Parts: sequence; C-alpha cells; structure tokens
Amino acid sequence: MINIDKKYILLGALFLTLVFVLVLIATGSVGAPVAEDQSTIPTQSPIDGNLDQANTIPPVTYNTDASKKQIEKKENRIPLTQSDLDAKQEILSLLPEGQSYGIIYSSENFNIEYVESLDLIKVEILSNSIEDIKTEAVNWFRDQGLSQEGVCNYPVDFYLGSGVVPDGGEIFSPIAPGC
Amino acid sequence: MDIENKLPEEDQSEEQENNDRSSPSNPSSNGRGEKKEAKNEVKQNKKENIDKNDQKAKGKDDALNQQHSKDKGLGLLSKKLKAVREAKRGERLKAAKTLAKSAIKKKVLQAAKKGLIAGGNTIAPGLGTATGFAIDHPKTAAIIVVLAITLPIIILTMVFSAFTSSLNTSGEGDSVFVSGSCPHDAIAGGVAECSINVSYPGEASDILISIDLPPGTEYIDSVPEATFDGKTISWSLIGPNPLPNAKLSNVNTTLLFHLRGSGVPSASLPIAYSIVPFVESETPIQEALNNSGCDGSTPNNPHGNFGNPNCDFNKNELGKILRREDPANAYKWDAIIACESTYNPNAYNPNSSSGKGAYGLLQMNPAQQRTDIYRFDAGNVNWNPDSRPLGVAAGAQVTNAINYNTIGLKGSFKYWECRKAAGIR
Repeated sequence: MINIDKKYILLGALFLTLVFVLVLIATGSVGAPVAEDQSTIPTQSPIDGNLDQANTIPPVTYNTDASKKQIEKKENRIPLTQSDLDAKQEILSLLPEGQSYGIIYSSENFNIEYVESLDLIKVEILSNSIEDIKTEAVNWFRDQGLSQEGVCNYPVDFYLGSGVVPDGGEIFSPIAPGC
Repeated sequence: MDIENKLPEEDQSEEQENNDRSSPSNPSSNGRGEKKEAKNEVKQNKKENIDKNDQKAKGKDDALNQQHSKDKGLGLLSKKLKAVREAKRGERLKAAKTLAKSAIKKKVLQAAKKGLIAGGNTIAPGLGTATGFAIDHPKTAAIIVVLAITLPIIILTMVFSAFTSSLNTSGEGDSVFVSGSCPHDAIAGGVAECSINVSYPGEASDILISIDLPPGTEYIDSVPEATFDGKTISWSLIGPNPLPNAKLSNVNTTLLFHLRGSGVPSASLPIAYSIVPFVESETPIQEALNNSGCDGSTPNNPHGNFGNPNCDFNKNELGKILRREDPANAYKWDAIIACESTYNPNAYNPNSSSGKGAYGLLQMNPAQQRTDIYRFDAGNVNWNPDSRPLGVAAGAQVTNAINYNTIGLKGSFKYWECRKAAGIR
C-alpha cells in the first residue's frame, strides 16, 4: 500500500511538470526561434590556417626591383623604332612555318620563344652561368638587327629553366644585361 | 547393586557356622536332624526376608527412577512453555513496531500531501488541489495523467504533421528534416511571414525545397530569394551559379517567405524537397583520362598527369587565358608561373610548407572537398579551364589561383613567394 502511494505521488509530480511544460510551450516563452538566425543560408566553413602561407620557396632569390621594372615595361610598352620593329619581324619569321608562336631558336644554353598572346619574346636559361648566357642571348638578338634599346624596351624577358640555379648564388633579374 | 549382592554380616557368620557343623567330621544323629530342619527353616525364612528386602530395594529404585524421569519431562515442558511465551511476546512487539511505522509513514504522507497541495496552489490556483485529488484518487488521477500526456501530443502531431516531414536518405544514414510554420490567421487580409526550417547533417550538391502557393494567397518575397512560377515557390540551397565542386554540408537553415491573402487558407502547406547527392571531384576522373606524361614518360607525382591530361599546354594558350581571366595581372601571373614551375603544369614539389605537396603551374595544394576559399587552393587539377572534361567541376590551375588571390588574398599574391619575380614584395 505504501509503495502504491509513492507511485501516485510521483505520477502527480509528473503531471504537474507536464502541465507546466505545456503551458510554457503554448505561451511561447520556451523554444522561441531567434529571428536573426533564420534568414541565413548555410555559412561556409571557418577559414583555417593562413591564407597567404607560401606553399613553396623558390631556390633562387629574385631581384624585386628589377622584376617590377620589367613588369612595368611589359604592361606599359614603349613603342619600338621602325628598325627594331623590322628586326622583330625578321626574328618572328624564324618561327616554324604556319605558326604564330613557339620556339624561335634553341641552343645548348638557352631557348628563345615567342608568346603571341602576351607579345613577349622569352629566353629560357638552361645552365647555371646565368650572366654569361644572358649576354650570349642578347648578342644573338643584336645579330638579328635588334638594338640594345629595342632589347630593353620590347622587352626581351629572361627566366630560369627547370633546376637552374645561379652559380654564385647571385640574385636573379629577368632584365637583359645593359638595360 | 550393592544392595542386591551384599548379605548382612550376621547372616554370613551363621552360614559359616552351619557349614562348619555339617562337616563329616561331626558324627551326630536324631537330635541333630531336628536341629537341621529348624536351621533350614530359619535359613529359608532368612532367604525370604532377603528376597523381600531385595524386592523392596528394587521397588525403591524403580520409584526413584520414575521420579527422575518425571522430573526430566517437567523441565522440558517448562522450557517449551517459556519459549512459546517469548515468541508470542516477540510477535506482539513486531506488530506494535509495524503499526508504529505505518502510522509514522501515514503522518509523513499526509504532511507531504498537505505540502503539495499548499505549494501547488501557491504556484497556480487549483494545481495543489489537483495534486491532492491525484493522491486521494490515484486511479482517476492516473487516467487523467495519461490523457493529459496523450491528448496534447495527438493534437500537436495532428497540427504539425501536415507541415512537417522527415525522411531517411539511403546509404549514409543521414536524415533531412524539413518543417515549416505559417500563421494562417495572419494571412487573412494581411501579410504573413512563413518559414521553413531545413536541417541535413550530411553532404549534398544541393537541396531543393518547394511549396505550392496556398489558394487565396499571393506570393510577395522570400529570403533567400526563391524562384516563383506563379504556382510554386522553390529554393535551391546551394544558390544560383554555384562554384565548381561546391557542396552543402551540415545544413541548418531557415527559409522565410511572405504571403498576402484575402482569406485564411483552408489546406495545410505541404513541403516538397529533394537532395542532390554530392559527386566526387574531377581529380580521379582526370587521372583516369591520362596517367602518362605528354612526352610518353610517367609523371613522378602521386596524381599522375593531373596538369596536362589533354597534352594541350603551351605558353601562348596560357597567355590567352591569363589575359581573359585576369587581364590586369596577366604579366604578373606569367612571371610567377615561370618562377614557380618553369611553365610545367605537372610540376610537383613533395616538400611544400603545407606538407601535402605543391602541384601545378602555381604550386598549390592538392584539391580538398571544401566550400570555402580553400576550394581554390587546388593545384593537382587540369591547367586549362577550357579543356576540362564535361561534368567535372574542380576548377583549373590558373582559374583556381586567380580566384584564390582575388577572393581570398584581395589581390596580394602573398600565397606565392615567387611574387617577387613579378616585382611584388
């Protein structure tokens, strides 16, 4: 008898709790949605790590000032003289027949390639004697009738081929010697 | 025993005497015969007396024995009686204790009941009385409690069931839960703000939600913006023009829309929804297309010929894409690419700072299944955005880098150390 009484007391307490909960739900004081959070579409995952963390460090140090000067020359071209324009045409005539871009000249130490879409003549340096090869390449252009001014203003652009590192660890510049 | 075997001293001497006299060395005749008879008689009498004495002694012994056993029996009986009396006394004590206990409990229960009634009435008038009633009439109270629990649940279920639905998707066990509410009363003659809650713990390319406009109502607007064809309001949770490889994950969002009406819509608003499953990125597809290098050799990296699967890379095409995708920075990108990879779309550096390897023209991380800015930090993809296989949407090396720089780095190029080759500090 005593146990049964206890049970009913518990039931009574449960009933009271339920009534409270139902009253609270009905009046909306519990579980009312927060309006600000409702009108948003799913947010993206939080950004983790540094966005600007460099993934690779090149083995070569670049001359930033010279590189900047070179980019400015590419972006803001100084018109070539007529003789230099003619020389350029002569050089581009060395492209394989029917092609408007591609390799113009190849040697053991460098490749010369024309990129029509960017209107650039690029020299890829293939060995570590960087300055010597640069000089050798400039001489080749001069031999084709392009002036030093034309080499600098056009501009002829240098870059290092795969695995090429300057001999003395010098800082690399994409600008032709004498510019 | 002593009594039985010992003869009196007097009798022993007489017997000795008789023995001496009857010896053959004593030659007496007639007179001696009478004497003998008399002696025998005396002897006989003596024997009889002895027997009698013996019997008397025996009788005494028996009586003593009987008395002894009687005494023994009485002792046991009294012991039993004592035990019975004690047991009865114990029972009475126990019963008294039980009665006392139940009386205390009753008092306590009564006090508790009083307390509950008083407390309940303080909180809300009638609650305490109800509790008291529940205690006094437990069976009725039990029925009331069951009804109080069941009825609201049934009513609430009936109210929300028409506007709430849930479904288990096959495969992953993730479930989508879509529910909505719309204050029907407010629609009558005015504007009602309705909402649809969507939650989905899994991943999906998109979740499509639609709801038919209730009769007698007019669609006004929604947040996020929905498409409305005059009959149905529809949402695509991924949004218009999703980025390549975009996906939804752990969705928990609310769609709001406003309706205007002249009357209360009679019918409930059924929500329709569907989940567009997420498809893996293009990386494995690209690997399958061409896993050998364009010069016939096998690229030495974990993703094969990821960068130039169609063998269509050349600097001129790259220049065109750079001019088209980021004309202001085309020369800068060109210089950075020359520095980072020497124009090799399959360039791979296992010793990257991220530890995941650096891939492609711009030496970026391997593609991740992300929807944030890091979805663009993907280098192990095709270099050319124009020659990706149909249905593949992981971006291309050049466009990923441009997006990452423009959106994530605000044009600073700081992800690339080779920015210095483009004159950027």
